[in-house]
Amino acid sequence: MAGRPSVGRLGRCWRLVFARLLQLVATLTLILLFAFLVFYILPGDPARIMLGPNATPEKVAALERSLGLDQSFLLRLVNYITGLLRGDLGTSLRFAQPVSRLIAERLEVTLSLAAGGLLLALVIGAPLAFIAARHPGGLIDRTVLALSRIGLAVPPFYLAILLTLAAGALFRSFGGVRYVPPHVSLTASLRSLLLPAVAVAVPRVAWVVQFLRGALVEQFEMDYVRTARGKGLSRPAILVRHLLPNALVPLITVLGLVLAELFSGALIIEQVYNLPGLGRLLVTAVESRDFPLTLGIILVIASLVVLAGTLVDLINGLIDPRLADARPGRGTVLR
Amino acid sequence: MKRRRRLSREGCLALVLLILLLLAVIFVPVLDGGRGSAMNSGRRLLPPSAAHLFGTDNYGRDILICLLEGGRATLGIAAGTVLLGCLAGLVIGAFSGFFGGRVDWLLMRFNDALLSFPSILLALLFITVLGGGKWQLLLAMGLMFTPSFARVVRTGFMQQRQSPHVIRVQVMGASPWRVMTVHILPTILVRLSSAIAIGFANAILTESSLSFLGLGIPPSERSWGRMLHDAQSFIFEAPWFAVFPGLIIVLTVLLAFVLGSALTLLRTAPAPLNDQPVKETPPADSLAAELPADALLAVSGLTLAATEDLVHGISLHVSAGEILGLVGESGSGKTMTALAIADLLPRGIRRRSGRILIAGQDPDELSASERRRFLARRIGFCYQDALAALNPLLPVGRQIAESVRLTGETDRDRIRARVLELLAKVRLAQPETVARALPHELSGGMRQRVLLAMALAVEPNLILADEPTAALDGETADFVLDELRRQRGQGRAILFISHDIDLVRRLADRVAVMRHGQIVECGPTEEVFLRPRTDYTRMLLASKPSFARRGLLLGIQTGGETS
Repeated sequence: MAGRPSVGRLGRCWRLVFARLLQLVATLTLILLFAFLVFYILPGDPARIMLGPNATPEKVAALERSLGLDQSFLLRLVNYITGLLRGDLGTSLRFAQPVSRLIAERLEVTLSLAAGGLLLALVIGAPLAFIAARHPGGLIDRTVLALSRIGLAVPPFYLAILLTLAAGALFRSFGGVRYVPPHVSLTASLRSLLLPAVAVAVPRVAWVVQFLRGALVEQFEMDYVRTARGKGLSRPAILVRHLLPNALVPLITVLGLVLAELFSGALIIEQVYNLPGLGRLLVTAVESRDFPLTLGIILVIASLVVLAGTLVDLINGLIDPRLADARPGRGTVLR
Repeated sequence: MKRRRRLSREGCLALVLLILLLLAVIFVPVLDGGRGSAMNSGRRLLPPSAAHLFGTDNYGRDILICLLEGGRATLGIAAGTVLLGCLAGLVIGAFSGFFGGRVDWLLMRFNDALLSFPSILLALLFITVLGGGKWQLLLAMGLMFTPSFARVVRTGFMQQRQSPHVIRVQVMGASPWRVMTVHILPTILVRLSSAIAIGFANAILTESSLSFLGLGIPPSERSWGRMLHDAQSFIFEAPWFAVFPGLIIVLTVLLAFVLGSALTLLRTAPAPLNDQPVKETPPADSLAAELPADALLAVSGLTLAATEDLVHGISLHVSAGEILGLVGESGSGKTMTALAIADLLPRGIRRRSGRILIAGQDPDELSASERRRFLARRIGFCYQDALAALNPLLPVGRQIAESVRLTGETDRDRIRARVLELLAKVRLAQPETVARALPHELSGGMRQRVLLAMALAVEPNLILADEPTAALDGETADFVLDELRRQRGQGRAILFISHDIDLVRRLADRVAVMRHGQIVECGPTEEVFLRPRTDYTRMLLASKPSFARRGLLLGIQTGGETS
């Protein structure tokens, strides 16, 4: 069917978005089911486990009521979901405040940390991948790959400690990272996030490098690149006109995966640098066995991850209409 | 011939070092007898020295000994996690991959949802309910590692289920259980072992992260992540307290990664390239002497090599207004010869010897950029697989325009007009619409016409047509053949590559028969077909494809000299 104009690309992407939204619902349902089942299957009395052995019966009964444990499994699940649809994630046991408000207050830090990490991973990773892919198997290629392997093996929190040590050695005045919100001062805020963002980004740089390099090397072997070479085009021209658009899809895809991983990286890094984000809130919640708060945070992060995936699909569908034209299901949607 | 699989040298080294580390973790604390890990306020936060290689911590304990002791928890939990995840993954993956169908679909949607989500969060949810501790960690982490193992196992089972061997034993009445355990499981062990090594590395990282957050191993016990957690408060006071535990995590994880990728390579070991120097290089002058004066392409003594020689010193020439048919079965080196002429050999295949003259010019004598432009200008290459040969993301009109630009045209409107003219010339209706289309939006025949237009765009001296009609309907195939005849009429030299002997007979003026990288026979078409000199040509003629196939009979009657 020739003659289908390439203009309506956005319109053709709706199927990808729809598949993703279905996935969002599936993921959230899965987490909810899992979380509630853990409670249900668990031997013993969850409220008592949470409060510890020294809790008074009254306290246990009160907690049971606030968790809704006196209701049936199904009723609890339905209640939670109807609450969820209204934006109500329940009340934190530890802070005695609505979970949604606690999360909203701390979302900003985590989001900016993840965004900064994504930017750094791209800015450091993409050029390295290009340099490595120029001569596959060459000295530079092998060095970059070895380095990225080391980067992958360094836990972000260890890197954070090393960075702190290095900053302390280089600048006598360095007294640790202190978070400044962007509405106070944007530059100061960026500066306060630089070190944490580097620590979050480095292991993911390895992903970007390995993925993009692989995609570039693979594309280089493709017939259409041979055709372009046969037209006498220079190497830069082949790279920019032919290779780059085709390597963009795998790049966007890996950035989506990186973003998902950055959220969990940010959780840990926030702890190291004492950043008031979702991660520290989550650690506090897990430590104090604050089940509603833990579940709320996890649901929010899960939604963010799936939304990032939706965005990835949408952008990829715009770049490569073949993805949008394909039937949803096998192979078209990420992973 | 089965090549023996061996672990690479770095893989062996990683394995040995990991085993040494394991032995040290098990035995050194025993040999030390608890002296190193005893609290001693007299030696609080001592820097590294001969007595305490890694220094001491805030309670005066030897950090090296503590690390080895902590390794028991870290490595033990990692091993347990991988074991648990692997077993659960085996059950799910085998079930899903072997039986397929709706169960598979459901399980994999479940699996993908878990995989697409930061799995550490799930572990945290588990720990919120269960609390921290070794066993809780193991359970939570085993659960979060299951999906990735299930994927690996499923892929292996799906592939093996289709293998002739497995189908045979099934037909012979083996039970599904027996087929799965005896016949399929061993074949995926290599794949699984690399997944285990990489999973082990990731498990160490996860345990360390959780314990570092203070949510994994309780304060009373010790693991590498827990030690880093304790060291946080003394970063500036005693850097060694934090540096060494981190270092050992990095090192162990790295070793497991190296082992994992070495195990992956077991499956796909590339053969080494054949780099032996060539003995005979053909004399440069003798080439031109024997050629007809109007030869536009001359190849002499061309040898192409990858791991072994693919083409052995072949020679051929094509004159202006002549079509040379190059026939032979697939794998005989026809395409590689054409690619070598255009200097477009894929990576891993090299021209080891031989000279090529195109329109009297030896491209080797030009600089790299001159050669690139010279070849692009003189040669119109009609590639075999049209879908693959076109850039999937660039409208075909712009791809043809790139070729038009080679003729020196720079004016945008004239380039556009020329593109449309070319598209019309290859008889594509609605050239404007086609020009804007992406390759996947066109039919196979349309793509091949686009490719032909691209080859003609440069007004080449030489056309290399590599199976240009292979996947085409009769009408399009006839058109392509007619167009090639027309091009011959305009004085171009054409190298026509095909495995279809009848096609070559109707089109070519001369024929070269290729086999195993050598030209076994070459001469005027009718001579070769009527009086073949080699057994191989006779055999090829005897096994020729049906004459009437693809409606080509029509082509012989009408296709002649229509131009």
